[in-house]
Amino acid sequence: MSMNYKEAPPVNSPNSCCESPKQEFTPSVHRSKTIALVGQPNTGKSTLFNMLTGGNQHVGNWPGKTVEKKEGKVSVGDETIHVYDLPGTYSLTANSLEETITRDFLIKEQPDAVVVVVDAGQLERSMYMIAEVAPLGIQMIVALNKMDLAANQGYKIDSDAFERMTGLVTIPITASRNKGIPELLKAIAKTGIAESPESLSMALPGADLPQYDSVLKSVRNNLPPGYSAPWLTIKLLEGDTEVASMMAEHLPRDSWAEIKSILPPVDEGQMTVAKTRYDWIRKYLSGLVVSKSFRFKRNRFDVAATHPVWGKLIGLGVLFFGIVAAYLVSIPLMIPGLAAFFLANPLQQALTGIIPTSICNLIGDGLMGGLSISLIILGFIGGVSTVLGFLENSGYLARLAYCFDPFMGRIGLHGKSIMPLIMGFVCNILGVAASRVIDTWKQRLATLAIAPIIPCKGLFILVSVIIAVFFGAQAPIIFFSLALVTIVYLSVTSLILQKHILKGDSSGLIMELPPYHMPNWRNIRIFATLRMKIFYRRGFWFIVATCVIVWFGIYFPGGSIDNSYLARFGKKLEFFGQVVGWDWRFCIIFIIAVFSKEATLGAMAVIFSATVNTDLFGMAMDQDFQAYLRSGDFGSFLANTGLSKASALSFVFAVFFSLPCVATLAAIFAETRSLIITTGAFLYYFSVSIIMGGLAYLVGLMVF
Amino acid sequence: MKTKKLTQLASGTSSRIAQIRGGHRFLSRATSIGFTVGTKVLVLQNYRSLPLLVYLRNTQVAIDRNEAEKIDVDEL
Ligand SMILES: Nc1nc2c(ncn2[C@@H]2O[C@H](COP(=O)(O)OP(=O)(O)OP(=O)(O)O)[C@@H](O)[C@H]2O)c(=O)[nH]1
Ligand SMILES: [Mg+2]
Repeated sequence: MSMNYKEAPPVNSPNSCCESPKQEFTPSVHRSKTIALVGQPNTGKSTLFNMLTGGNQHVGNWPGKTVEKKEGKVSVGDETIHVYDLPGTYSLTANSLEETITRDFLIKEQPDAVVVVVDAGQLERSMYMIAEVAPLGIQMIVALNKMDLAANQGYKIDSDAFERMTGLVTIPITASRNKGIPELLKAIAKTGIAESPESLSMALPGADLPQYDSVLKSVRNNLPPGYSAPWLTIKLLEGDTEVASMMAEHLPRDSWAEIKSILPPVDEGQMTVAKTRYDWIRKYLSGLVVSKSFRFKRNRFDVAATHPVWGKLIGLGVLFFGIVAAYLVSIPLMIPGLAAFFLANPLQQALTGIIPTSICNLIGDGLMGGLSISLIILGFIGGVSTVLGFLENSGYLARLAYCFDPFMGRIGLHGKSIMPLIMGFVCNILGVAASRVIDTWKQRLATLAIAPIIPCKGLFILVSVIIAVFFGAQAPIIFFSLALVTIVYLSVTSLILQKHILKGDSSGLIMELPPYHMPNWRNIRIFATLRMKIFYRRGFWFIVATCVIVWFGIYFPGGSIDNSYLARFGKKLEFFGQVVGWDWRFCIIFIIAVFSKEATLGAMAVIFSATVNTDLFGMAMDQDFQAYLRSGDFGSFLANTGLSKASALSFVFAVFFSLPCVATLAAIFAETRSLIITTGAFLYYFSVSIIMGGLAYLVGLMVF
Repeated sequence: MKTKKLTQLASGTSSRIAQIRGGHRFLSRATSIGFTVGTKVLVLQNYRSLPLLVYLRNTQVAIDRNEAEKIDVDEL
């Protein structure tokens, strides 16, 4: 299913300098307009975006960045409106990638209008964004969202009075119930070129900061093209480092020195600017909002959900049910995948005799196998995204993050990372998909990097069987050492991340805990469908292709694994494998483990039954553990394979830390949309796995 | 009226922010979510092992204990 989405018409050439691009005139009948949704986090931008555009969305990257760019369109009359969902930020100061993206979009792409989404239940705080956008001089429409919540809390908001006082077109909406959307669309369609209203100048700190006027004058004299002078001035007063270095470069040296000498100390500037904005907000609110003396009260559930002990228990319980629910949701989506799996054999048989056997096997084993895996993963991603959407939209996720923040903070991650990490135990793909809950790109990247270290269910089964067969009664000790090493590995990786990815981002948690409410299903469905579409485009066929290639390597030229290209390749690798005492069989099993944990046991059974006299491995694998244990024949398997205990130990470690499977890599690529990051992750985990194998061999030599 | 650190307040205490210290990034994040001098803050819950939970400007906000240390308040 391909999205028939065309490139947005050149809205206004980005970075256009010199003259205002708004004068461009499009003579065609089809007119178009660009609208950006901005607002503080959690005000309902994405919900509004979904309601405005339905499923008509397109996700790309911000140029040069790996943060998602969500764009959608909607038609009003003969006009196409392109809507951008910008990342939620509390301010427009360059503290994070998200903030930089939002403000760069507003300045450089010059949208025709900005819809500032404001939370009517928290006007005092969320109106801050109006004051932030005002000095940019872009036309604003205010969407007063969550009118339902405001009414519940006893606020009466007179939106007409709001409009009159601020001079901004103001539309009351309830995005989650699809209310007020047509009115908002009408207002968007009507926007033309207008000056920002006089009243907004009161959000500027002119009166409070005596330096404002003189800095403004210097900036005006040397205005970099495309920028608004009041905005630059305010950012300079706030001590915005990015604007400061841009101005330092742009201005003649003496004018910059002059400005710098006037600027107040950073904290004074920042506090005063913020105070001006809140004073401006207060002034309006006093006349606009009638509140029935509302007293904030926390409900009993919230008290329990944020308790140091109960909160964590509730959190783990919710995660457990979340995983179960993700499976349940994904069942209908997995049916085609399972069907492909079960159809593979009959199809293969039906085709036998009609077309050459090798092609039959290619279709039956390689193609159908790959399709089945990909479809099942697609189902997984749909399931986990639905659960994610539910937890986030209901407001609970913030509580979960709150309870686990100190714990996660120890490895440099945000509290929300608990969810992807726990889900990673079930399947790394779930973990990778769940990393979507994390708000800032850096934190998400760090979580994505750590998630594949979590041993998933498939790996557990694989390694348990291998350990049991190789080590018999010593298995618990081996398990214990694996667990210890995993903890060390996690800590070292997180240290590396904190040094490199997260540097300058170590500031502690400041997070809003939104009120609970019933999620909107349409919103969740659009979200989950979009995640699946993204995976379909970026990961699906990659996995299918990999399966076909691996099948090819196993099947050709001899028709069986011990007489295949892969075996030949393994024999070439034996040279390296011999360093730790592996023969070619272990080399190729290791390679297969890299591709898929689930497929490894089957491959081992095939290889060993063809080359080793006892079928112990097959026995253990068929879960005929009792027969296996009764045979009391633990050592013989190893003896028969000719592997020393030290080599076996190195094999176990190398497999246990073998990188995320190919499907997880595909999921990482779908999430980050970055080939560099995906390859980097691959190389990192792969080297670690080799190093672990080598170290385990040395330790094994000493111990055994 | 005594000036205290925000973290020194017991649950249920109302206060008014007297001063916020800290670097550029922290100040920018704190002010834009609503922590400014003069703002009323109600401490909702103060467990040693968890971030501080407060209510200000119509919003329930969780703030890391180390960050909350940088906020001085006058008890009301
Ligand atoms: N009661 C109510 N809740 C709403 C409304 N609109 C959105 N919400 C809820 O508000 C929460 C945040 O909505 P989002 O659309 O994710 O907010 P956002 O602005 O995109 O958030 P960020 O992407 O984090 O900046 C969700 O739980 C929504 O279900 C509304 O009109 N009424
Ligand atoms: Mg959003």
